[in-house]
Amino acid sequence: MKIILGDNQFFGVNHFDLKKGEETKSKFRTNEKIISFIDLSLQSGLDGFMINSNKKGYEIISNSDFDSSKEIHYSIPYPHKYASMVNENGMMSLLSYLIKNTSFLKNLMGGVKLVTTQNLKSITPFALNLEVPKNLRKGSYIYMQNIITDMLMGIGRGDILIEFIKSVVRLGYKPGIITLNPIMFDRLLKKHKDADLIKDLIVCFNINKEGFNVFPSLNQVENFIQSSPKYKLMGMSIFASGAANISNSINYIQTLNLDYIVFGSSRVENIKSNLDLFNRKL
Amino acid sequence: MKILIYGFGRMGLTHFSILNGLNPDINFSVIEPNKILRTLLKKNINANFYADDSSLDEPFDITLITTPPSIHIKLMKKSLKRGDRKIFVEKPFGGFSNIKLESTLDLSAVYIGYVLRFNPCIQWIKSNINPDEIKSIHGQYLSNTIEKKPKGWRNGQFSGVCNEMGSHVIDLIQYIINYNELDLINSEAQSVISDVDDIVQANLKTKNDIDVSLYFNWVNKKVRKPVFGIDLEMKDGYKYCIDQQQIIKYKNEEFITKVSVTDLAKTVPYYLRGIDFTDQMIDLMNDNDIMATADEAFVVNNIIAKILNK
Repeated sequence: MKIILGDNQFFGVNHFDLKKGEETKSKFRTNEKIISFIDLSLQSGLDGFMINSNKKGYEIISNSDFDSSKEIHYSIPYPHKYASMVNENGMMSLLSYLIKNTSFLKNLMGGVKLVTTQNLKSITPFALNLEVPKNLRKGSYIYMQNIITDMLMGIGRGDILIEFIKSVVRLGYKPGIITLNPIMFDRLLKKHKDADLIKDLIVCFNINKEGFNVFPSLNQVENFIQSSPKYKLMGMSIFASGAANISNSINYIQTLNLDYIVFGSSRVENIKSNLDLFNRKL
Repeated sequence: MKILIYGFGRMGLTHFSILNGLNPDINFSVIEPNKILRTLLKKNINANFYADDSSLDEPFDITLITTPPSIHIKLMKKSLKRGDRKIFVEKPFGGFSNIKLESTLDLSAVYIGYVLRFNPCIQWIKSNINPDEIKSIHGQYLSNTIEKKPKGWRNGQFSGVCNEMGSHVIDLIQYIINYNELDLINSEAQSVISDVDDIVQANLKTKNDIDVSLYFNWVNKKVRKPVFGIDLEMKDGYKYCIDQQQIIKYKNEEFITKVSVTDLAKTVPYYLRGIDFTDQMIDLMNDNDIMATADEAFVVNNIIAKILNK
């Protein structure tokens, strides 16, 4: 099981305690502080780190070199940016933003395709062009964030996620999907028999002993993990967003057949002690 | 099941995704007047899209009105006339100026989208607190929703933090205290980014002597995600502080106990944007036990009108 550093602490995300989330965010005010924390965590023995394509995440990946033996897991998009855009200027502003902010060549190619087919699938290359820094090391993982994944599945456009996976592979990266509806996503993948599609795919979803934010239910997700899908599985929210007992959580996670887990903390000492617990129990 | 959605903005899309995620066999019709958006949606989403409702004469099982508030009432009346069985209107139900409708209208099948009622912590309070024992209640809503001056209706009288965010908190307060007659003592509204109210504070009192204070701010740069909070002071000296994630009980400022969302761990068959949103749509399709009624929404609008001195 590979262990990846999560990024919630850098951006004030704490699903259990919003105030704590804000306090933690202030600890990571500058990119340098985030980079230093990532370096220290990787030196402790973590296998890689996850970071979102928000302004700071984009800049960090654009301007920093990390230990090349460690994995980078980059997630797109930063949903708040697009939610604000829709709040302020309506749904159409999203489309015009994508067109205005992507490269001329991608615009031309994608734009022609979008106009001729009117299929939103054609937006996928725009989105990747916009959200992925040129300096992101090839072979890194690029994930679709859960708010987009789950919305696309809800509206019945899972095919756009399949296109996302293909586009990521075409760019020389490995695909990842973050979802809070992993069983629904599994049903979608079963319709696509292409082995190449899922060769390197990681599906990241909530799993914790408490069943906190585990959907559709803890029991169903445990059975899903037990079924050993052909792609890799990554558990997130393994400590129930900080509400759980760490040692019990790790004991529980060790019983599951996961390929990856991701967790964060605002203290390197916590990262080290969690890692020690994992290593002791492996 | 036949469902009609008026307006396919952010909320229309959210409700469509959840309903379709819960039941892929629903037959959806959508009214979207924006031609470019409608053309694009027709090609991409499995629903019947129309520019207007002139050709829709048959009643729908459920109608969702997720348009700007200024046309809520017009569309609701049309839906009632068509005989639609349930009508869901996004908050704040026509805006603060909508405080009373013709008494001839039967609004018993009209429900308003005050989604925070479905938060597990609020449901815990509703089941465990006796409203007659409440001495005072403070409600607040903080977010960083508006970063630049908004365009269109969001920069007009139907928008502003009180209509869009504060209405949720005011609804929660009347839902928790189970009482809806409030007098305004004082209020203050400030425009910071938009041309309407961005920060609002107010003090009110119920006829049965509960002190109510409110603070809303949707231009708070320190907040990453919208956060609401309700503080309840009880007659016996206990205090409950509630937010999306926990309920903390104090006595004379001393911590007594905490109930967190993990203790209340709830599951939903399909998740998007929060358990609350999915539960709201499940309630809409079933017994409507929790959903706000039109009368309750009028109370909220009335309070907003008083606060904004309209």
